[in-house]
Amino acid sequence: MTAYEEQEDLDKLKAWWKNYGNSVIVGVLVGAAVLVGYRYWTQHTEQRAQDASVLYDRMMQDMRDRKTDTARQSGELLLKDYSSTPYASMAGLLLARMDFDAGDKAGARKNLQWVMDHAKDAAAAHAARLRLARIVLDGGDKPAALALLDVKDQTGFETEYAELRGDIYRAQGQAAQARNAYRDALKQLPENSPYAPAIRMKLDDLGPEKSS
Amino acid sequence: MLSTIRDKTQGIFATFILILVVVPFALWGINSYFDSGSKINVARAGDIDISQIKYRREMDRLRGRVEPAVLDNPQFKQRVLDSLIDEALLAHDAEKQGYRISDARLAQTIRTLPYFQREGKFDSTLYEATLRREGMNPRDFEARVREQGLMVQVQAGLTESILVTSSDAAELARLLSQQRETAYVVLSPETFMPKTSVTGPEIEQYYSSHTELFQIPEQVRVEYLRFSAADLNTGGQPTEEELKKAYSDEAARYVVPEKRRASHILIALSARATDDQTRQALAKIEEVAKQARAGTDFATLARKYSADSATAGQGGDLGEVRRGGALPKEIEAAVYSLKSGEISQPIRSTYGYHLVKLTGLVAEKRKPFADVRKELVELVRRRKGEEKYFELSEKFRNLVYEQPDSLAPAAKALGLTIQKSDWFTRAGGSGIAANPKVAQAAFEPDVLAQVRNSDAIEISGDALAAIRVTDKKPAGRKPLAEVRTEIERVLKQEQAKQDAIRLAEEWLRELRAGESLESLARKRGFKYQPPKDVSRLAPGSVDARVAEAVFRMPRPEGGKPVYDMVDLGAQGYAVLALRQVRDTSGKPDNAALEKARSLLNTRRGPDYYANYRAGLKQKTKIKIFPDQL
Repeated sequence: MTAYEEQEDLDKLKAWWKNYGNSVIVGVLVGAAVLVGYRYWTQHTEQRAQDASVLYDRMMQDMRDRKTDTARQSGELLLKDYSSTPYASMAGLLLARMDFDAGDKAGARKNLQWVMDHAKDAAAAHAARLRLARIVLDGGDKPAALALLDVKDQTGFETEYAELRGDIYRAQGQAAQARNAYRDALKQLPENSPYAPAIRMKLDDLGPEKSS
Repeated sequence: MLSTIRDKTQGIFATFILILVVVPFALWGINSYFDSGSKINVARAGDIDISQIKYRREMDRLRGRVEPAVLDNPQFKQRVLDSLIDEALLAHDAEKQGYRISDARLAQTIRTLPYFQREGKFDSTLYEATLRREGMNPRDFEARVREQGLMVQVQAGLTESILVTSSDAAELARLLSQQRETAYVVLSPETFMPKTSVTGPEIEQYYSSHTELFQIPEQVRVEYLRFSAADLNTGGQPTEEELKKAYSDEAARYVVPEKRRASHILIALSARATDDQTRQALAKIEEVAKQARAGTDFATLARKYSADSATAGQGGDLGEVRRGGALPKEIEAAVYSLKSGEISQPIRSTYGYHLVKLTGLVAEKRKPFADVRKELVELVRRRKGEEKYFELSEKFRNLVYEQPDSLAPAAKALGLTIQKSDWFTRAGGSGIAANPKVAQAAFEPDVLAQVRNSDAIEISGDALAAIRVTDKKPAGRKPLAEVRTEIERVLKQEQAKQDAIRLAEEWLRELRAGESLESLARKRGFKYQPPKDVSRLAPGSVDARVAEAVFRMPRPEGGKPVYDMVDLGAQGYAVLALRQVRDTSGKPDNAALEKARSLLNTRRGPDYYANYRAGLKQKTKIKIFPDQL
């Protein structure tokens, strides 16, 4: 390689830089900004999740210590400011329980409805839905309770749904449907579940089918 | 060509690109050097790996807590693995959803764990030491605690938000306390037995159609040699010298050493005491000694004068004094030279002047040689036998192995007799075959098919055996003659049960046509169980199967009882009459309500977490690598 060739290379590089230099710099800057922004964002959400976790632990402890007022405050804060975290749904469930225990069924329904609408966690949503349906049934509105149970994905909670459907049908006097629902629940219940006798009992109480 | 490549790679441009290419390559894979441990996994759930290390560590942790036999049980292994998978899935899922445990919270949790605390405070050296002992490093442990914390948050949320509506509880309580008035009659097969008859062809038919019954497994008979230490100890009489040696070796067994208890009084002297001070102390101790010899109570004197604050309060009591103990040598020597109750002369030690009194003396107890002679002979013989056993067992092993076609050479060389066993199966038998190792050895291909000596079998810590199959009986079936009565009984029972069911069905027809159960029972001579209230909570004296059946029957309508029958297995059939169903009107009783609430308190709370868990598992693809377990 001669000195001349080297000079030629250098010139080429300079020309290229003149054409594209600005774009390269802008590109690098944008990239860096995105990177920094992303890092900031993840750190921020991480921090919020941890704050929510602390608040949730405090709420739980207050509930156990029967400090209902402070527990309620923490819960409402979680619902309001931390609704993007899963702690909000859990707080909603706990708030509903406190309402229910205090005899405030409307409050409980409102909180459960909130969890159903906002929960990202399927388990929390199922728990809220099933509990809401039970409260509605308790209030006497059977069709509304039944309508609440109409969801496709019931993974993990199949027996709960089936049992509750059975309870509603029974209350409506539809023995055949209730029987089917209870049978369904029994079929899905894990082996030697201690709750199986209870469902068995409900099923047996409907008596055998009329045909036999 | 190579030079062209070299030329082209020397431009600035080229160098620049080369660096771009080289850097990632140089650093690529560097992280694998920092990852410790192998990458063998025992299971994969979704995209989470369960490493073999984690599994082994869990098994190690359980090792001390579970019986060793259980530890090797495949079902147990599966359970351990399942729980690891569950934990990993739950923690992973919780984290993915946004549950978090902050570092501060984690530290607080660890600090409050009791096993890292010393005197109520967290101790970091104890923490590290404990982890090391469990074979964990802090990073893994902390990750684990964090996982647990995440799981607890989810679990507590679903569990503690439990709601049980009053209609939910009331309905269950109603069912629990419902009463059903029931009468029944048991038609037992025994009643029908006398009327049954079984013919010869029926028995033969049963025998030929139930080929799976009356099977006898393969059996063998063996000859065997038993070689044990106990049989060897009948050798010669031990010499007097050997017995004496054994006596002294076993002193701990035959000699209880003497025990001495003493008290003392100390007149203290510092190490730098002047002659004057020494004289004064001596004068004082002599004064005390005089008083003691004059009859003043030693304990009282000790309390008054002794400078040894540890013993003065107890009257100077030093407790039992053993040779080579912690006391100064001078005192120990004095204690061992005094007679019982005697008081010593003043003794000088580094602490000052002492006065010592021997307060208790239990003389040495020694079983004389003559008394234990017999025992010693036994002992020496047994030991010699053991020694000889270990020497000869090698010979035994070799002989039965090297001459596989007969046990005679080994028997001859070791002076043993060849014995014969009874018939036995793979499952074992009586005598020598009661030992499972022997039974197993007899059915090994070499021993059974090739008719060779077995290897020497260790049947206990100090006994060996070798066997050789002499007779074989192939698997077969018991002849009809041997099982005829048994078959007859089975067939008769079947018939009786058929008769019972026929009668029960006949009764049901009559009952439904309006006949009463009581009169039917009386007519046919069966015992009538009069109407009784049965509830699910309190079935009372009623057979559980009867109670269960009663609660499955439809409700009687229009005052007419409902009838049904239930299979009681060997006890035959029961014919039931359900006369009335009574639901408690208004409030159900407290016991039922309590039971209902306790059932629901699990069902409507904690079970939601179990469901959550189950759902998670259902949605995840789980693969297990059993070879790595």
